[in-house]
Amino acid sequence: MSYVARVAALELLRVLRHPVYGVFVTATVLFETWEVVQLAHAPYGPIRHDAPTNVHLRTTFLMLYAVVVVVLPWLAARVARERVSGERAWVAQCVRSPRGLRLGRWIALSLAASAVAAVGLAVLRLLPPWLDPDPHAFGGFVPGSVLRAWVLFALLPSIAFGGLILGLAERVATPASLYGLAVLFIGLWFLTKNLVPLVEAGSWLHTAYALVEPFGTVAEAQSVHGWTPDELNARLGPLTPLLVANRVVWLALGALVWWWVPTREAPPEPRATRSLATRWPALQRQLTSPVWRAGAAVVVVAAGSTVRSVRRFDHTYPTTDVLVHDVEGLLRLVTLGWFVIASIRIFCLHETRRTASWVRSAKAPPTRSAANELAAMAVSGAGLSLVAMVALGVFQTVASVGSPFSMDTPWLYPVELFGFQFPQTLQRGAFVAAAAVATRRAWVVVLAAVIPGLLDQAALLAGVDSALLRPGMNLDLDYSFMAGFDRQLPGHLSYVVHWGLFAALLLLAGLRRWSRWALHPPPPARKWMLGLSAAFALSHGWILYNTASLNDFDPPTLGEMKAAYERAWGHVEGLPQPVLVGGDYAVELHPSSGRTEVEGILRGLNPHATSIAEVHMTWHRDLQVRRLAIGEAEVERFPETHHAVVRPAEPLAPGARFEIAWSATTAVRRGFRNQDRRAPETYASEVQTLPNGTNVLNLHLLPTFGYLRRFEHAAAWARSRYHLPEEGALTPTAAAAASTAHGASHLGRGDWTLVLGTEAPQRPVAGGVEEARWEEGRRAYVRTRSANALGWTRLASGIYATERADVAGHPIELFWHPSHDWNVGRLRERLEAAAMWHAEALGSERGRPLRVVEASFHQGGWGVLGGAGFASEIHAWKMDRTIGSSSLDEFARYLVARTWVREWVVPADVAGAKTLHMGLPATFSEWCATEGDEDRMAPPDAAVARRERLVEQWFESRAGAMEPEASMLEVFRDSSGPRTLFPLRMMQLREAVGPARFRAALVAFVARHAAEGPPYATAADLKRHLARELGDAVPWIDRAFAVYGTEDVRLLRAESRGEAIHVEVDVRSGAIVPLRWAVLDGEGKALASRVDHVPPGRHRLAMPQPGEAAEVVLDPEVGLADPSRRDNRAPLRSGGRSR
Amino acid sequence: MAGPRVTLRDVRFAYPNERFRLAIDDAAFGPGVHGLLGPNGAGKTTLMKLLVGLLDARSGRLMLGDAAITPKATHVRRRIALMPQDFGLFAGFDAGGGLRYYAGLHGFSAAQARQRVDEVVALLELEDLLPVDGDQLSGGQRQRVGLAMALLTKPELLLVDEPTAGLDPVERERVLRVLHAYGQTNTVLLSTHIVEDVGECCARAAIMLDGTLVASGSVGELADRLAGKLWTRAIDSPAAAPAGRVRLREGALVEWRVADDRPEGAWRPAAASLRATFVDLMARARDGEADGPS
Repeated sequence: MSYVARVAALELLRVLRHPVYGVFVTATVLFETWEVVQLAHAPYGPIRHDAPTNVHLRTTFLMLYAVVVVVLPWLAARVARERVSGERAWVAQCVRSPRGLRLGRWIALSLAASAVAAVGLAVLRLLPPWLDPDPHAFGGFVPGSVLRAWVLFALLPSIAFGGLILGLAERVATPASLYGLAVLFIGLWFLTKNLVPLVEAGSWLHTAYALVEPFGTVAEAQSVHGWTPDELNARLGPLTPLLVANRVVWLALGALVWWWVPTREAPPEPRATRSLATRWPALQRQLTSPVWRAGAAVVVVAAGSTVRSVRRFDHTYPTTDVLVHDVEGLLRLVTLGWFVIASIRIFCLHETRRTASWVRSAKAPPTRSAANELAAMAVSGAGLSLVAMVALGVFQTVASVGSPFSMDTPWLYPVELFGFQFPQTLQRGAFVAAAAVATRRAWVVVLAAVIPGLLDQAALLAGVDSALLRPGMNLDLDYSFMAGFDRQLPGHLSYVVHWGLFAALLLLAGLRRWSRWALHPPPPARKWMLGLSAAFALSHGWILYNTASLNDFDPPTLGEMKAAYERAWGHVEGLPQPVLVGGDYAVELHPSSGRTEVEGILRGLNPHATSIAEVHMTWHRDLQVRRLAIGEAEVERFPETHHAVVRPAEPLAPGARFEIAWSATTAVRRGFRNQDRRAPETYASEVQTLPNGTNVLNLHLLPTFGYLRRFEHAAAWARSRYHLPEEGALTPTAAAAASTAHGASHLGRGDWTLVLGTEAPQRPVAGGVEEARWEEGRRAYVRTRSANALGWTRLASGIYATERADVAGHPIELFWHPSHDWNVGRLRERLEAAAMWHAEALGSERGRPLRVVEASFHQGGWGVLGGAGFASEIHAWKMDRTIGSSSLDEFARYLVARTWVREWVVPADVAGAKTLHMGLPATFSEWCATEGDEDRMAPPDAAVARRERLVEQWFESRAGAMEPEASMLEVFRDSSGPRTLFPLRMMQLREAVGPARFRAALVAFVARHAAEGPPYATAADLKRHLARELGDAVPWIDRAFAVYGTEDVRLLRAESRGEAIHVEVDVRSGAIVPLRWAVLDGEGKALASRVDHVPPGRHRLAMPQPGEAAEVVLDPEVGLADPSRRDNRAPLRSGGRSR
Repeated sequence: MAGPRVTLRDVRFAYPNERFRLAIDDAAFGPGVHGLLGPNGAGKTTLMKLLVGLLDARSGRLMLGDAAITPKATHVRRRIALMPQDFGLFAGFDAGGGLRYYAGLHGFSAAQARQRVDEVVALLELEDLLPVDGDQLSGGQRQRVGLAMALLTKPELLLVDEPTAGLDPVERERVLRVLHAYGQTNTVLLSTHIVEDVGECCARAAIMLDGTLVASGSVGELADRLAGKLWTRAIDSPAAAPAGRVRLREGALVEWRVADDRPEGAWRPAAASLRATFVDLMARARDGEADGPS
């Protein structure tokens, strides 16, 4: 044993002092730091680090990919290389204990590999507290979490796969085989992970797969199913028999291979390659190498995984979605990996094989030989893309047999792969090859592969976001079926050329150094160097002209703009300001030029009891205001903050009405920007008209009164980053509500007339009642009137096919791209079903049109405002089958629910107002879904399934912390919380009072406020109504909507005593919990259940003995947001403690 | 002279592709330095690997003293070391680090490894080379480091495969001197096709052709095998003589022949030597003559 330990220590020391290992560790630290920075300092705010996505998926995937594909093969490659280097002759003579020597090496390899993962995990878990100022954004450091992730996802796979790969390493002579095996292994895992979900859940195949899946992630996921992020962070996962069996299987397999290998006779030692390019043509040799074939196999496997996407979204095979989501990332990695390995094999390893003298004395100029190899590498790298394309085509063709859909854009495959993806990979491949040619050092080659990524992250850390500082990084390019590439193409291509020239320069420099080692160096290629340098300088100048001359080279980010706005105008917060109560305005969209114009008369009102002497107005940053006037009042503009101060000649008296003349246009974009990460709005502004499929919010085209509080940074991390004073969470108060800038309208309904024009043959579409539609010249117009609560609507323009349906007097109009008619029929069917349900449940309310418009990917998203639903082309038009949040059913129900109950509930001054305001449509959407499903499924199953999904959604965005509802002023930001919380609470109400009474209460509210005028229903009205109708049965209703939190219930004891069942429960919650609990018989069938309203703390509950009771379960139908359901169940004991 | 005796009886070996076969019926190497001569491909390296236990003979017995040498006989193999013909130094180490690492793989403790490395370093005069990276060593320096690695375990049987190939005279002399000294107390088998190495360093030698030992004995005996039977004559071009029977002497081409009596023509007697014996055996083997020279 001491010998094994000594060998392990020797090997470990040898590995640790190797520079490449240092590169791995450094890269891991930087990469994980980047992860943290990305998560903590993303432009859109920090992402909770205690979410399972981070702890599980990130560690799993990053560590597995990194450790298995890179670190382990590298470590094992040393053993394989011993054959070629001649070290093997020595090692084979170490006969103190051959098995002990190999065991020591195995241990060292496993420890070294898993240590890399440990470093990554440590960074992931230790950095956040001091990187992020908001302690709630990240979970605390929980050693158990790190230990669990490391043991399960790093150490055990390293040991198991280490045995496999070390065994192979002792049989082969080329490290490439090891990398190929590792990549193939991951590829097969990737494929099977994608294929298994196709099988019905719960089948034996799932269990079998969990048993044999190499990394134990499936078995582990099953063992922690239903755990909340807090639990995942704070507890070690249970070692279920399945997980233990899985680990044992793979450890045994690794040990078996490791043990079996030396019993076989060693193969003859390979002969060194004689020269670079004379033995076989370079391309033929590369294409037949095991590494390339392994890479191609992985690509085919990845393409095969599209079967899952094809099955899941049966729309997708005519598109490139599967290419983008499933294949491209892996393809890029494989191709870059191929460049790295091929470069090392061709330009570095021949030194080890002592064939350099052949190269030096070759008759052909060595530069030409090297150039042949480089050209062959480029072609073989492109070959991987070709393999991907063919494989995708085959898989998708097979999968589409019998489908009604067709592939109408096949050209996108080669364009995407060879036009946009491969050039970028080729640039990085050229960096790698240049490093190999110039230095002939393998570790420098690996470093060259990761340097662009490191530079990228360094730039991000330094707050520099210029693509000119990110070699090999081209600007992103998004393709929209409706709007094409919009205006992204010139910028993208400019950077492709720029970095392509840079790569060529590096290669040429490398080749010149390469030629110095030759006996007969070729004449120096000064002309080429000069020409390339000049072209590179020219492209640099061109980019600078576009980015620095035509645009602001370092434009302020949205975050900086917000901070500047707050600093400039924060002092006027709370100043009484007018509100918009309506207006007549026209919006002219110009798809051909991208311009958007708005002009009209807006009507304002002073709703306060005091006069207003100074009116503050703010508008969208991309608008150029042409006219802003309130009568003859003096107007002072502040372009930097998109703000104006209007001082009327006479202060606006209480109740005074006035008119605002408003005219604005968007700037025509010129050139392109040098960055794309910090300002996603760079390409397709929110107010910009697209070539086709425009989707603009009218709010962004109109001015806002008062200080725009919702433009402030609300999150603590953001305020800290921009050095803004701390701000406590706002509770809804009258003062806050009064000083709120209300977008386009007040907290009530307005009276709006809109004329929307666009270039024919495009059609304009907006929400509201359509009064007229006409064409004038080459332009098409529509006039609408609306009176919705906030005055919001989407403004759309595009070349559409249309269809109209009528459901119980409820008109539904669909506008979609003429070639995207795949799912229109089914979307209409779902919309009709949802509308029918609403009509039956709530009573028919005629005349409210629902328009659903397909929009360009560039202004994507989906939702409904003012009766106009909009959906990005990648959403509603392509989705089906999924039982998830993005399904066509979900989309249809949501649209109809939002249209039916609209924005009735004004977010007034009441605790829980945000939840009450946002939640009602979500509730109807959920309700519709549940009851709709109940029509087709066994009712209990459907209800429980949907409840489980709701609870899961809740936990996806929230940990177990109890916290008050966030400011209602943030209602326009993250609305997922209230949209989930309200339906959860309504579910509990329904549980508590019964379906009939619950339904009657809601229907009464809807009927009462369906067609009323001002004053409109507010959150306070809804809360009062619910309390009045249901409060007698639910004493907890007062705080139900205001507290974000979980309801952790635990069953401490269950006893059967005499004629009654007694239980002791522990409730941890911020409010009284409506707790349903049931008594089950020996077969799990419910004998009896009841609901008790239980305040926080320990309590004893009882119910009559129902019969042959055997077990008690709390919350059997998943009505509570309970972070831990494992402690809700216990067998029934006769007068004794159950647990 | 101490050292174990190595004996081979009816040893048969073939690689999986059967393209090469080794067959040795009877051979023995006692204490001292033995030369193993043979052309490329004769089977010298294969024999070395059999003797060090890296390969397993299909049949026959290889004995070190009374112990059989097989791949699984690790207790025997510990007494044997091979300095391979084509070896590499452990990457990532300087010469000293590589020696200590290798000693560790042999199971020496850190202190033992330091002590043993110091000994072989002194023996091979490697002090100045210890901090030098393996990549930076000259050919001769590299061979000396390799010899040091082979000597780390103080093997009773030291096998050295082509140790002087490509070395300058000074380095060659130094390596041979070390081998000779080591052979005073151990058994050393020096495999080479450089006849002069055997002549200078070894008292006994064996000649191997096509996987078989065709001759063995003291160096003097082998050298004298052609005494009075070797004849030469000057020729103008290689084509004037049978293939393999041409050599250069003092800048001129000569044809040589082995015969009991002087052949007719301008033949002159030539001095016998180990080299002549070796070359003659090679020529006869190529010509298909089953027996050795008369």
